[in-house]
Amino acid sequence: MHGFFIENGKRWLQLAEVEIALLNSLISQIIQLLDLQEEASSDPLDFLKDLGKPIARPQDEVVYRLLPDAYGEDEAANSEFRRFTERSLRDEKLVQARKVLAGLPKNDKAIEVVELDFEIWLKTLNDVRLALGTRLEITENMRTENLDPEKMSLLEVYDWLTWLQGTLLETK
Amino acid sequence: MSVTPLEEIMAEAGTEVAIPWVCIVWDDPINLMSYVAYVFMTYFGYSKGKAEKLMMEVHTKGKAIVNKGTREEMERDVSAMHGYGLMATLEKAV
Repeated sequence: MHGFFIENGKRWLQLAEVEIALLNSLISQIIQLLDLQEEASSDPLDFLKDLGKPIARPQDEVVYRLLPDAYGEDEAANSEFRRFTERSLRDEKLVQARKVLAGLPKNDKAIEVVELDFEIWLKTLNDVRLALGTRLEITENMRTENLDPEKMSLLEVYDWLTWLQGTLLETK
Repeated sequence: MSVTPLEEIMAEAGTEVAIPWVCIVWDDPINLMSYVAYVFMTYFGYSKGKAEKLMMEVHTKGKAIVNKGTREEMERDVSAMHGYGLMATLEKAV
């Protein structure tokens, strides 16, 4: 167990190959969830047509957790805020997740994580934890005795992500 | 008859117009306490002490006002908090 650590004044990440495969899969799932997968349009100005259209609140609870409302109960204000901000928030999270995915270690040797990449790692790991935690319906004092085996193994992954994010925060 | 100087009227009106909104961060069971404090320090530039105090307020009281400003400023803050994965909303200051 290594995770993130500081050595010789630099930040490093070292993971077992099974952990790399796990992160690869989890981050890819986040990308799939957030990517609108719009059909490629031949008209580069096509997006302008959508600018004025209201955007509905995401149906998927995980996507909603990643792109939440800003105005509480005020539905009109929520919709207006979403119309102007959701696209850029979605894109920001996607760009970060893709960058982390591309920069994952290729094997169990330590790689350097430069200061510039600290926040994208931190935010992406957090998004993955939010997604998994939301699916697991994590609560403050969660009882784990009655969880089915599938949820139990997801909870182990969640705990591992918590540990990994903790090691990253400790390098700051 | 005394006349209130224009500057005073402007200043009073100014504070009311300039600071009518707040950014609120809500407690959630997933975000790490150390992460939430890190976000308050990094994004708002708060001291470690202030960031940890606000984080504890979120954790124990369920929510905390983390900044005040114009509606546009608070929308920017809420967007940034959502970027960090924190639950945040804005509303008119009471």
